[in-house]
Amino acid sequence: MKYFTSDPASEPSSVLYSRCTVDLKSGEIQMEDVPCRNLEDVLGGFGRSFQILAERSINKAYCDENPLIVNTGLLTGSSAMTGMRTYFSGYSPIKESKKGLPAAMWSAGSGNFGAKLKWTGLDELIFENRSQKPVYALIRETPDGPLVELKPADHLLGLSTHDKIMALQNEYGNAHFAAIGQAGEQWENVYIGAVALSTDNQLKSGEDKVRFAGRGGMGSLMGYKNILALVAQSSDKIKPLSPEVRKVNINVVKGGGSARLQPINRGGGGGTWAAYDVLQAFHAVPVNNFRPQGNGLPEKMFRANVEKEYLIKSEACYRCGITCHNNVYEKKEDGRAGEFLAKFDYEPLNLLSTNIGIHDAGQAARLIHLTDNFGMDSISLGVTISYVLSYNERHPEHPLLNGATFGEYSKIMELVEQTALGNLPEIGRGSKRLSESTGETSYAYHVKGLELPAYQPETNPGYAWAIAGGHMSMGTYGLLTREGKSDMDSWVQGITQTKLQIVGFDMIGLCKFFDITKGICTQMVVDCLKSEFNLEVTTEELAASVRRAFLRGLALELRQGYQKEEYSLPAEVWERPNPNIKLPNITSPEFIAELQKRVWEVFEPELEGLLP
Amino acid sequence: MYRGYLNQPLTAAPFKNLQKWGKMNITIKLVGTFRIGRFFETVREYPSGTCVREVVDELRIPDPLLGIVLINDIHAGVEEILNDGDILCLLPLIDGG
Repeated sequence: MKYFTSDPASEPSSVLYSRCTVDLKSGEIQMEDVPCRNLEDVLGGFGRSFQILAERSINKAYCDENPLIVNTGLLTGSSAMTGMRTYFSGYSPIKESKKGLPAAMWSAGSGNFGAKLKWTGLDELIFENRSQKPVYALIRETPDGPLVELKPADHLLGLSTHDKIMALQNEYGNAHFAAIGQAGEQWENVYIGAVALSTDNQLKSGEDKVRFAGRGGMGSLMGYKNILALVAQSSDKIKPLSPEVRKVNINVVKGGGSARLQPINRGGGGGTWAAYDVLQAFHAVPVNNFRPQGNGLPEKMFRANVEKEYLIKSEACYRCGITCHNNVYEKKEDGRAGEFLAKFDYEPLNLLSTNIGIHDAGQAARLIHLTDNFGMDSISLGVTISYVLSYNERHPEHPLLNGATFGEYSKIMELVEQTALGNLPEIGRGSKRLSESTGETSYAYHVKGLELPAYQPETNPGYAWAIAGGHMSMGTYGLLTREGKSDMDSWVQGITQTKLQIVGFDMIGLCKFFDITKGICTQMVVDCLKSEFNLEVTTEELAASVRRAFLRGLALELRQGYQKEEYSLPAEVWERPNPNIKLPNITSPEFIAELQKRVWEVFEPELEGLLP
Repeated sequence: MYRGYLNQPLTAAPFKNLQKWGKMNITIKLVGTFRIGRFFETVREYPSGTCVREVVDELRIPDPLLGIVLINDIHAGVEEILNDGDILCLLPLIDGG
């Protein structure tokens, strides 16, 4: 980035970002400094990429005109803690309107790739068209600025995400990597491919401790374009900590924002896995395709129970003091760590265990591990499999695929493997398409074509207005459970004002755990921008920019054919209300209808003029 | 002696005037990490007029970790006054995943 102003909200065109456009068909590579159009462009991430996507008319995800945009946020690679995010954007293979048009999507991931990419001097990489042969892109720092080259990647074909990264590490020192797995290579039948991002821990230990940009099938789009990996090679350019950023970082680590994510032995809450215990208190942990049974089955995946058999280590992303990773290892007889099994986060863990009837931590770990190595979104995969299992439970006389039902580990493992290898498009293309083919759509747990995360829809009608990942682009998933809000006014306010601000993290380059409850419109972020770049931005300007970016995403959905009735929840939620969930019912047809009316009354007038 | 969070001994100091005021029995249920070094569920005696905050402080549950307070299965705030026979459930925060 180049700054010729300290007031980017008023003078955005005085901030330039460095963009490289790679034409995969011709091999032509163009570098340019692009003036920002607005504060969204300055902040980066989806705030910028969605403006590029909005300029294109795309009718199907797999076409030459659909770009894959890889970019970073303003604070990616800065000394601000958690500033490690990379964003992948494009029209999604998996998320589509009922009209059949692909929706714009972004997916975010940590790991060290984003910082390395930023340190090469590049802020954005746009891949146009499609390569005839498999390639990987090498982005490196040179004395003359960033250089991008395409390299043959035949030797990477068929390797897992981890093996691709380790193979490239043998060729490139001082680099970090983004790679797809076999699933992304099978893009025709797998729309849920993820992009793996390397970590220092992975490269040093040789263990597959990878981070993922999982949602929306950006790994499949990358596979369609025949790009198997990205390499960012650069010296580290982290600035010395200023007193202001040091203060912010201490607040991130020791302040309230991240306390629940810190390891238990440091007095923290133990990471996102802790959601299991909390949601179980309301019988709101998804079980057997989002049908909690009011019993104690989910408790088998409580950390306290898993710890009896396995060793759990708390680890962190590079330079991050939050230490939110819970890495699960075999426990040796002497109590020391054996083989690394998997990283347990709430979403992948639940959707690949309790929600598919698996209650054994070792089996869950192997399913997560396999999914990560094949490079699939564990949320979309887990939810589509749970649909299959639910269908088979209802139709034992003519089941789908291998006839797997809840808890049948070997058969479920077979579904995961065969999906990744492109042999089960029924699962690989997601629950919306599958349920439409069976004619039983009510218990397909997606909204707008994107599978739900592991928070019961009965607790979150806000899913309907999430513009990307269901819980990470609309922060209402705790409004009922955590805050106890069941009145209409609170939900309208949450969806249309406060909780949409969560998407700001997917612009600026910070992880949501920087301060998930307050968002990016805080003095902490203002102080970081001033200290790192001498930029004067107010919290109000940040909030307005985040809101515009969110609304642009919503406008883009409508342009891609979404009808207002698609802003709803899976029908089973009100057709068969679940009496086991111990929370007020806020998903009756009447409540949803009133919510839709009032939310659109707020949003609709603001959508005018946001798209070109 | 009951030993609480971080293995520190807990005292009944905040409630030394228990006899002076009326007494009430409160069932306390803890969830998740709050159970470590404490208990799953117990019944305790408190003076009338005790609020949730006083129980939370007595149990040495750090403020940033306290996510949800339920009294008789209904969401409540930490300033809420407890009544005899109440079931108080304290849960950690949840976020993301």
